[in-house]
Amino acid sequence: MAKRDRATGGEAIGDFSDPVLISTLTGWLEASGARELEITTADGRALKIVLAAGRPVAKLSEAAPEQPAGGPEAHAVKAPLAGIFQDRHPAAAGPLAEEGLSLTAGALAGFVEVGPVLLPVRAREAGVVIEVRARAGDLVGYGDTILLTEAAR
Amino acid sequence: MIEIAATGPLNTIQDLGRPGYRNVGVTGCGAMDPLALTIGNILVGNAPEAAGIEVQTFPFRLRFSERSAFAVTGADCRAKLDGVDLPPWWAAEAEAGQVLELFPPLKDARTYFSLAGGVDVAPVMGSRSTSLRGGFGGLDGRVLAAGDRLETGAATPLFLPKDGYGVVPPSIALKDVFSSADGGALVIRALPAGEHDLFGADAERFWTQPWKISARSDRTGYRLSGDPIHPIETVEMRSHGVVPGVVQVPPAGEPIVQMSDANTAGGYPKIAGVIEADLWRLGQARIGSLLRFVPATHGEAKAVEKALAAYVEDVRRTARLVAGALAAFA
Repeated sequence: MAKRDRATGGEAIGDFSDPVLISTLTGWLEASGARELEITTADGRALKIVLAAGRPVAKLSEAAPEQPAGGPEAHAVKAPLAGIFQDRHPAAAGPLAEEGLSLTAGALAGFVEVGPVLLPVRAREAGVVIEVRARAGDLVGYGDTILLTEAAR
Repeated sequence: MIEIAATGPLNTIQDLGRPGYRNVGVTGCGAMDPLALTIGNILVGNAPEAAGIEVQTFPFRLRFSERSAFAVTGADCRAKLDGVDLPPWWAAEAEAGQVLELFPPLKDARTYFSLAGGVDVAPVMGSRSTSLRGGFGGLDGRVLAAGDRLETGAATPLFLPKDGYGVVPPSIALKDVFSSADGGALVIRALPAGEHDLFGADAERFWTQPWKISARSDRTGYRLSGDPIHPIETVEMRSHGVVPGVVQVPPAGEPIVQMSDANTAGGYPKIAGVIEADLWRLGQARIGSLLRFVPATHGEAKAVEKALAAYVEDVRRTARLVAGALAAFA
């Protein structure tokens, strides 16, 4: 996953008046389940897309299936929403999950940062972390695998 | 409803305060860190005026009598819900019977507990804040005690992410605006006040030396200790109105900063006034810690206020968007 510099990320958006861009973003918005999208660049340009009230919003029950590489017993700990992955609380010194570390069911494995809001990334099942896929600062999508755990033997 | 299971002294129900009655001698009261209470209320879907609990002595323990969304903001007090750690600046849902425990914070002074619907006590003069000196507001005008049962107001329907959610603490999100310690001293911006020039050369020492927050400090005011400063001449002043943030200098020469339960009037010369947008940081400063005043302009004060308002608005808007998106996935 490409690391994106948030300070300059806005520049890559291009021309906000481009209908192709707006249509693409609207498509993503409809598929995301959210109703509203707002982008502001460092130079003050802004784009806001709001889906019309009553327009059906995608109901996603499960993210696209992803083949965990850790074998059949591997359990994928996934991102609850799109945002920036953080491996620790901003006020904490160390990462919450590292290879070899045991997580209990429901344990906090990191956060997804959406602006000033933090959403927890939690392990659904108890297990030992066998692979950490996302690095702090990575832009992750809904359902992306953050790390893999395996039931302790 | 919630029940207080254990509390230290001096923990009270507070909202954003009781403005508008200072002219008749009624102290404003309100949270010492109004920013933390504001964020807590946003996270549980409350109106800004909802009351919460200001916890300044620990450990503090409460039991939920019914299922309720709650938030713990302000000083990181290593909160635990039924023994499970909660991150700082966090909101979650508690089931009936669950116990929330708050432990002594390692830094900062005050933690705020907010719950969906707010703590429902009768408002007095438009506020639920406890006035300890007046003996009214909050719960019978007194500090909370073990065994107290507090009613909950009507909660607005809210989709709370089932795994809980939180915010990037303002001291981190706004670190460019609220520069941290200067050689261990908290930097507090202030405007020179009415009698500033009366202190002559000593005024310079007011700004340059670090002041220690003495043990004789509370919600009414912080008494500072350091190298005393004196006016060049003794002046007899009439009593005049005082607001939180005003820095007075009594004859002994060690300044007093008026805080949330500020006196409504005073007669000591005023050397400075802390800018309102820095008061929440002062509200989190601990007894024994050092602070240093730096002169600010009205323009700077306004800019800091705007940055603070933008953070609060960003939290409000993003929390709503995130809840909406997660509700769609649920």
